[in-house]
Amino acid sequence: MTDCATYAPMLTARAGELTREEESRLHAHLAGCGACQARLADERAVDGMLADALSRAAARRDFSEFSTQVMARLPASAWKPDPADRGDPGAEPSGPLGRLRAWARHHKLAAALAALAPAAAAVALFLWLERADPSALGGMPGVEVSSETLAPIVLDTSDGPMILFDGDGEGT
Amino acid sequence: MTNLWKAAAAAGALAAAALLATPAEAAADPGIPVRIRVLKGSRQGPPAVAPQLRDLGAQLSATAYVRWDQAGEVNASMDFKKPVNVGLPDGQQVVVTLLESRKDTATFEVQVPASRTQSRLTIAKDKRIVHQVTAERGGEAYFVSIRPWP
Repeated sequence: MTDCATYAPMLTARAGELTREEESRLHAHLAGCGACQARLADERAVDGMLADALSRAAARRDFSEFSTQVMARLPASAWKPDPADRGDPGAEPSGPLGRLRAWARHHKLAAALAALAPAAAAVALFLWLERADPSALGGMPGVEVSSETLAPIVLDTSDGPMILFDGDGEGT
Repeated sequence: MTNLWKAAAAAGALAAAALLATPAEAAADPGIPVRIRVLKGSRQGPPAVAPQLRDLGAQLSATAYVRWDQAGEVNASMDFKKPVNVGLPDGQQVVVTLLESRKDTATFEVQVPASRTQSRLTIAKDKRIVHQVTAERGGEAYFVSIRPWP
């Protein structure tokens, strides 16, 4: 009976709680002890009934409002999206936007230059277009010639455009 | 938002405003001085270019006309969209209008009512336009040259 008292607590042990040596000794004892076999069967039956009863009890409970009720109990400051926004210098930013903000906060000059870059590029492009030789943009300067009676010919020379009319104009 | 960010945003807004405002300033510029000459080109006769037309040599030599004389000249301070009439020796009229000028370019419209011809030309500051304005008759034709900021 002393052995049964020794092994009784082991009957309810969960997987991994016993060492291999304890497991082998328990199995050896169970092989020759009918009382402990009966107790083990009872324990397993109780476990099954308990699990079943807990599941049925949980199924009867409505958990749909659970998360809402938990969030309502928390103080508002405890669940702000980005802890870094609260001025906590040690807080790790979350998300790409948070990381970008943190980077900008620590590299203010570079961030300001990055913000100015598109505007500077637009101004540079505008100034270049203003100063550019029209002929450099499209080969020929802006030339549009139309005539109802003559056939114009446009020549591009180094000194500027030359507009000629083809034909002798006898029909005009 | 930090002060640096505000300064950057303000600079960007200023740049955008400058981009939008500059074309309006260009359109509001005062008129520009323009030299308009009337040229007569001939296919016959010994090749010769009148001394006062030497600056047009590159353009004149690109044609089949070998003899060039100046038949008239108008120097005007042209205002935007105010046409200047130029008379030709044969009695026809050429209408030259300054449509637009920027820092280094000018856009002109040349109209020849008799031949219902109309041209719109943009040139750089150091260039000039040579434009035939009459049909060729007997191997001769009239031209105008237009030079802004002469």
